Amino acid sequence: MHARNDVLKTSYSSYSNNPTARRQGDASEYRPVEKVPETTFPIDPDLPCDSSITRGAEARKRYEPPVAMGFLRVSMDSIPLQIWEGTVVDVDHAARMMRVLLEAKIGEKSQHTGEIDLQWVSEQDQDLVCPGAVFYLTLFKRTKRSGIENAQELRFRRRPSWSSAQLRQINEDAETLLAKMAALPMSE
Amino acid sequence: MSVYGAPPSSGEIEVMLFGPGYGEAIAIHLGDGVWLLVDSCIDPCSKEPATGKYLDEIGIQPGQVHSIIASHWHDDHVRGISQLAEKYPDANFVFSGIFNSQEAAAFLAAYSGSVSPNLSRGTNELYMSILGRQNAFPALHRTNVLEETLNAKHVRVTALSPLPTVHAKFTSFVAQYMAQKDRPINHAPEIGPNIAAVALHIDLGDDAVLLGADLEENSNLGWSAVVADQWSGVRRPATAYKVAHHGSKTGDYSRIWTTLLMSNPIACLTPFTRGKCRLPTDVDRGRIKEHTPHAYISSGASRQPAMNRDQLKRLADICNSIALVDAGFGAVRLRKQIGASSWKVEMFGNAQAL
Repeated sequence: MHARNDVLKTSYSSYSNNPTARRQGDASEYRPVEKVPETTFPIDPDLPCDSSITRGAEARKRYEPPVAMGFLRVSMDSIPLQIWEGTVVDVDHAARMMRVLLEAKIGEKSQHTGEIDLQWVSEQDQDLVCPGAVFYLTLFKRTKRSGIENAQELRFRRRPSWSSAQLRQINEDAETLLAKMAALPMSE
Repeated sequence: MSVYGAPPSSGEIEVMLFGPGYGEAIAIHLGDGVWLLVDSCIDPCSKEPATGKYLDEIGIQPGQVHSIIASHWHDDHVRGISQLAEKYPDANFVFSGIFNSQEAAAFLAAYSGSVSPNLSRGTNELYMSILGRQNAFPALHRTNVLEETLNAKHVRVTALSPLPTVHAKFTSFVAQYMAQKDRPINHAPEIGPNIAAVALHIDLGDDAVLLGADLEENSNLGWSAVVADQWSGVRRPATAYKVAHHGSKTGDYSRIWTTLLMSNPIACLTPFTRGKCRLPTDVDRGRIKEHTPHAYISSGASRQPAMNRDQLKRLADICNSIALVDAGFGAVRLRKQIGASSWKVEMFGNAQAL
């Protein structure tokens, strides 16, 4: 499929600087030239700092790259084409797919639904894939000496855990709610 | 001047169903100026709750709204319902009785309370609506939402569902998602199948309307059980039906049509789009049309993605079955004079015959 090949090509070229590997697409030739820490930086001031980066599913199948790689991260010289804030609606583990709701952050704030293969999710984010989880999907262009490169990034929002103080507050809020619930009569 | 024209007369019953492609809201005039609002969706132009905007446009005063009912807490049914609750402060707020437990209240509080207010739009709308009122009313099977004499007719609105057993089942289910120390804070998960929705029977004294909500079929807890119930089975058969669960197969049960409805009723529904799931399907449409020739859908518009070609091409590499959520806004309005034998059907926006 044409579109898929385009992605494969751009993703592949970014995985390795080894020209042989780039030409032949041989997994054994693949050598990561850089590995960045898991912590990345925000792509938007309003978005939180998150955990990881993924790229083309096809490239992942062929090369099994390390989980966190920074070559295509959204950087200062990247031009975001669109950023979607996504919410996982449900997960079909048998089909290795998640149904998502995407809310565009740039331009028309339209909402779309869709299905994303779990192969697009990095290994380190797989534990976050559950209904209700939030992720950010960014399509961007990056200028390189060799030209303009298309890339994409999907990273899940890793949220903190509940604290004891929060749990106490939740119980108080729940009591407030329950106190407001009153009964209507029942039909005979 | 409003595209909706004049409000119904005192002696005219109205059912107005809005649906933008992902969402559903209903405004019902029971007669004598008394209104019910069931669920909520957002008008894509004004960004206001559709039913609130509609009542404003036809000149209905806030005091005329008797009850606001959230049939269930899914995002496509409650968008803007907390705004409606605020707009109509004297109206009763009614919601699914499954939330009337310590566990379920804690579930709402965890995902939408003061600790984490924005973890789920569905729970947040419900939480804010309940919190903003003096009293809010959980509804279970046989709950009387309204009982009044209007236009000299005994009008009664009752909940057909959820069944009491669903309450216990939901309580145990929701316990799995309770906030626990050292567990990550996620958004509230959706829980299916939908057996917790409040389906409503509206007895108008000489006719009836059935609102199927998103209640799905389940032999013990869904439509089968509701229809088989002795009390439900003797409700006045309805001539107008808001088809359950967007016309899906899972929301259909043949005895709804034979027990709770008159033959050839007016059926109206809203579409639903999520990934590959697009309701109603062609098969669903065919099945509904076998039950009645009088079927209408609030939005028959295309669900093609709304983004530029470059974005779409690149997104399609990652994401399949991309569909626009608010594909086209429309409404189906049913009106009839008390005592009249048939409904007058009007369609607005992208609404069309099924």
